[in-house]
Amino acid sequence: MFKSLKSLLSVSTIAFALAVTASSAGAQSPGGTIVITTTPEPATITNALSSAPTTAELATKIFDGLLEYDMDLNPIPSLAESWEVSEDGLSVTFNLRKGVVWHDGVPFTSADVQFSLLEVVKEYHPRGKGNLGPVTSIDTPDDYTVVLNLEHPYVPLMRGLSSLESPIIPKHIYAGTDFRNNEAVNKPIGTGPFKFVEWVKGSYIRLERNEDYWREGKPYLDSIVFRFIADSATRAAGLESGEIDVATFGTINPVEMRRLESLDGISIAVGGYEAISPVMLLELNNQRPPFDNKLVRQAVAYALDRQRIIDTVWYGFGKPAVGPISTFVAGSGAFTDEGIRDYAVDDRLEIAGKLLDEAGYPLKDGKRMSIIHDPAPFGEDWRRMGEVIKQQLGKVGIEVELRNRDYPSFVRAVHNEYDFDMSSSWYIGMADPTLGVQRNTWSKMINPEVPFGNSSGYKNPEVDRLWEAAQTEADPDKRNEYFHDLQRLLVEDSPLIWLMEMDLVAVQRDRVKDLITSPFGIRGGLYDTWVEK
Amino acid sequence: MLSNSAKPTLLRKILSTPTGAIGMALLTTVILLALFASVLFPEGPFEMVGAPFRPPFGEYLFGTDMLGRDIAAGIAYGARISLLVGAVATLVIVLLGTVVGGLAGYYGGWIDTAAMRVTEFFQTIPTFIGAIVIVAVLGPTLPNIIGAIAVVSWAPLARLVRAEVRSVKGREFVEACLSLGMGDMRILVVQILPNVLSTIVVAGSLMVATAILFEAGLSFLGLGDPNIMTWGFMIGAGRSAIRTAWWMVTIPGIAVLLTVLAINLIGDALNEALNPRAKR
Repeated sequence: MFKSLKSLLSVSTIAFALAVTASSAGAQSPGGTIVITTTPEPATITNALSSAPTTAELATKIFDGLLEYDMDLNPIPSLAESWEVSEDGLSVTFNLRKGVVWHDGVPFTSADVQFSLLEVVKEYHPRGKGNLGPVTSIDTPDDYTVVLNLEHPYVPLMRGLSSLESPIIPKHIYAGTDFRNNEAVNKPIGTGPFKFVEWVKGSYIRLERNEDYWREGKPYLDSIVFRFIADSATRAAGLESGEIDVATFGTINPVEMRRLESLDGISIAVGGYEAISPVMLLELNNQRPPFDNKLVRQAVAYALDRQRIIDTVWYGFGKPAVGPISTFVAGSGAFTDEGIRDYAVDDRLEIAGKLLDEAGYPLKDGKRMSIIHDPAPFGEDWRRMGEVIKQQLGKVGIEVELRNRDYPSFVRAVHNEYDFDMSSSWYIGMADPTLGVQRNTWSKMINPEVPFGNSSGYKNPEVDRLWEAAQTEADPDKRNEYFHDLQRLLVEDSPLIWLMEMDLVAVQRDRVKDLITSPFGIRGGLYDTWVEK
Repeated sequence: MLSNSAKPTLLRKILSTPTGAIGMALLTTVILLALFASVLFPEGPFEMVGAPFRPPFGEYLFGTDMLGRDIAAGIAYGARISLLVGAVATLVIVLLGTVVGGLAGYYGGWIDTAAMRVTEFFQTIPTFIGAIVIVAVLGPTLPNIIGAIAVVSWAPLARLVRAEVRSVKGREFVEACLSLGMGDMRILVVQILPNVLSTIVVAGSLMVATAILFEAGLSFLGLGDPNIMTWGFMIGAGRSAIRTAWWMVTIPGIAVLLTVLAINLIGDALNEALNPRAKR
């Protein structure tokens, strides 16, 4: 009782503080346009059919999901006003918002939800099976009620119903057509805060305020323009000159981001990636020597200086990862650092040396073994990281040869043929470990047909059992126990090297206010965002 | 031509011109740097020796790069690669060019026609793009890079040698050799080649500079061998930080500039020494 009272008090204090800052900064003034630069230009702008990052950045302004999430990743209302999970966890009832209309004026109903989730997102979205897999049918007792029927209890379901993961698209436009070739795919009609206006290929996409948006008085902005500029230096110059208001992560080199940050009128927009919880890792080939040996994998985990990698290669945009499940999901209780092997100890290099001795790789002429590292072909920063890793592993006698390859040959060798020793990559952990983290270490994800799964070929029956138990467990506390066990087991076994929790920060002009107000950040609806005049 | 007694005179001739002297001085510095790289910087060019982004002329002569690597070490080890690529690629180009050009020029007829069509084929490919394609397909390793540079650069030399051989072949002393019953190969190697050598040496010396630039260009584009420190690699890596740290790009850039300049100066001096009539 006392505890809840205290938390209530602190919540109201925060709310009060927020109200004070909001009023002292001047109320959100409506109007204005912001220009966002992102890269690459998306191929399509309907994210029900694609999981490409830039597709999502655009589509989340145009479409809504059933739910949104607060900063602790708890569900909050969106198109669904309220919901109820049945006691056995086998059905979820959503009460939909009334009076919502599509951008073309047609009323939004439960039929749209049934159609979108079951026929489009579950079938066509690359993460649809993960988010909605156990949903067997959807009932629509009336226009404003939907009931999702599940094969088994599935807690992750309630974390994957945002406009980013499961957007609701209009049935009256898509039903009975070839979805991918429907012309609405690139002239989308949604229920979201902004309407699509035009797309000048190779140049920009313009979105305009939805006057009939169901959130009263929102959005504040008149329009949002997404500009596509091929060169990173030009994007940085655009931000510097004020031509561009927001540059998403990856559009400007980290070193340039640090330079721009020091200029007047430009700052780093921290946050807004909690819901996708990105983690960078090294994949080790667990199916062949030397990384089929746990001692060697642990030695690598000890030998790497994560903080140095973060500071030099990534200019501080991240923090060392403890294990596969990141602190981003700490709010749900899935994260733990209790009983986890700590690889960042002071005598880590000595330990690494001992482990390698024990594994049968004694030091001969300053060298124990040679391996090949394929840095991810995602840009020069990844190559720099390869160079640092080469030096750091060289210190414990692991000689690393770097091999740079183009994207298609990289994916073929590493993710289809599993012909590699060590490779770098990153994954989005999503709001629930079952959705994002599981695929890297669950043995059922060893599939050469599907890249970026369990490419390291790691098989551990106990790990499989825990992942599978977490999929169907209805009790959140019990699931979190499973995740904590997984965390301990995986970090101890070290099949992959988790390097850092990535901060996918954006760079913004200071005239843009309230850019990051949700765990989706720029991948949210931006209906709270406004500009100072 | 380059007999023992002629060697000192040739060197003296080169050194007597101001361009030659400057060129030789610069090149000697680069060679010494390459030779003593591992003595000067025993920890190697990839070792992160200090804090990143240290400006030059402080704790480190040329500063450190974005990872804290000593740029001076990179320059010294990069000199090795530049010189190695320049020398080996030129050797391959000269060998290929001389063999193809010599045979085509000497025999004429269908051999000439066939050889010239092949060289034309190679000449129609834009050289740098050709090198990029070869390295991209075969993979970025040092032998592949040297091979790619040689493959795209030998054709002009072959045509040059062919033209020279043809003009020498028409001279009386060659006819005299023929009438004495000398074999084709002997005439070509012993009689004609020495008379063409000065042209080959001058053209070859300039090829060294081109090869170094090619290698730097390929590394700059990320097509260098990632396990080897080169000047082009340093420029390419430092490019993204150019607004924050000018020295990461500028210093290796100056190294490329001075080396290529030195070789061109020596080439000019060689040309004057070996073909005095050609210029005046």
